[in-house]
Amino acid sequence: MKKLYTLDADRFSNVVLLRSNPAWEGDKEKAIKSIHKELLIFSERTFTREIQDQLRLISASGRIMFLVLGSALLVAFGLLIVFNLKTREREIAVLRMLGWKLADLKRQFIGETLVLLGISLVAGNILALAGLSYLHTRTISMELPWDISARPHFLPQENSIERVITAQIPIHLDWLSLVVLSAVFVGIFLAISYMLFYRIRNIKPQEIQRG
Amino acid sequence: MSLILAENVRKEYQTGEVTVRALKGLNFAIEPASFVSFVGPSGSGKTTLLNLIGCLDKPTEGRLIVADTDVLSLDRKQSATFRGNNIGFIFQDFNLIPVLTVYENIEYPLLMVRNTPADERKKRVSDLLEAVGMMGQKDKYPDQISGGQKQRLP
Repeated sequence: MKKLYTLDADRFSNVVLLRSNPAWEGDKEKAIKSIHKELLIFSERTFTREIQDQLRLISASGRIMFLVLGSALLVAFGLLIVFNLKTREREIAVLRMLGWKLADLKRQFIGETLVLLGISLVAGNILALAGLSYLHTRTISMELPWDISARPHFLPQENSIERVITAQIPIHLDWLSLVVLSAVFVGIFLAISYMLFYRIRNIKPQEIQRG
Repeated sequence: MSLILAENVRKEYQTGEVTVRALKGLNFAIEPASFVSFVGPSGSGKTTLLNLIGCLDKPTEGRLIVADTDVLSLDRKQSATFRGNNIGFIFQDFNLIPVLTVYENIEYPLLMVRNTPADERKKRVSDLLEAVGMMGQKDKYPDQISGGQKQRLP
């Protein structure tokens, strides 16, 4: 190659290899890189790899989005519990007047929270799994730009190669992460419930007589 | 033996540096099956006295015996149990649970406070509904009955 071509960086920036033998790719890349380190080596495989790298970035963004949305849901759920408790202060006071002990109240409210949490977790996970399963069946196709295609676009159809790369969306479901994160959410919600229970202790039964 | 016996009952509230003396040395006895009304101007201590008799609060000083039990000797848990077993409250605004029917509102304390068995509970609730003439409304919700009917439920 060096004898045939003057690989001047000002004239060439990309080198495209024909993929007749994938094994050549590694050796050819190294050989070309040894001539000029700054040359970008492309092949159909490297282009596919580029797409997959981008899709992995999207997956990482998805994880970050999951954490952000999960945190927002956590805050929303906490506020919901606070609101629930606030609007039921009168009910709590009446129940204490009727003879409910603090342990009874704790059991009631934490039980309600657990039921709500359980339904939310199951429904949320089902929706998430369904969405991920659907995404996993989808593929995306990208057409190689002609200037990095193995053959010029102006050649007759029968001499051109397939320039469309099709890649499946790289969805990977980590079951361990799903279980661990679900357990973490349950733990955090229960902790919030316990903290709010101290608010219940301060609701005196005689408060309802003041309206 | 008196149902309620008060001897030199005092109740004071501390609000900052100010001490409010709501009750100052009350002495009275109420016999069983008697009808007693506490009347007085606003701020005279009627609610405070009812809170003490209802075991919702404790006297600062003195002795208060309700149904042969010294109110001062009860801790919070014992007070709750005592209230559930011995004292009934009729609220000014009824305080019925809106999501429960008439039947369920009566059954609720028997179920949650007294842990009454199911068959005994059913009989008790039916007897009470018959006594107040509310059997026909047992499946209705509080917002579907009149004020006078609501007052019969507690």
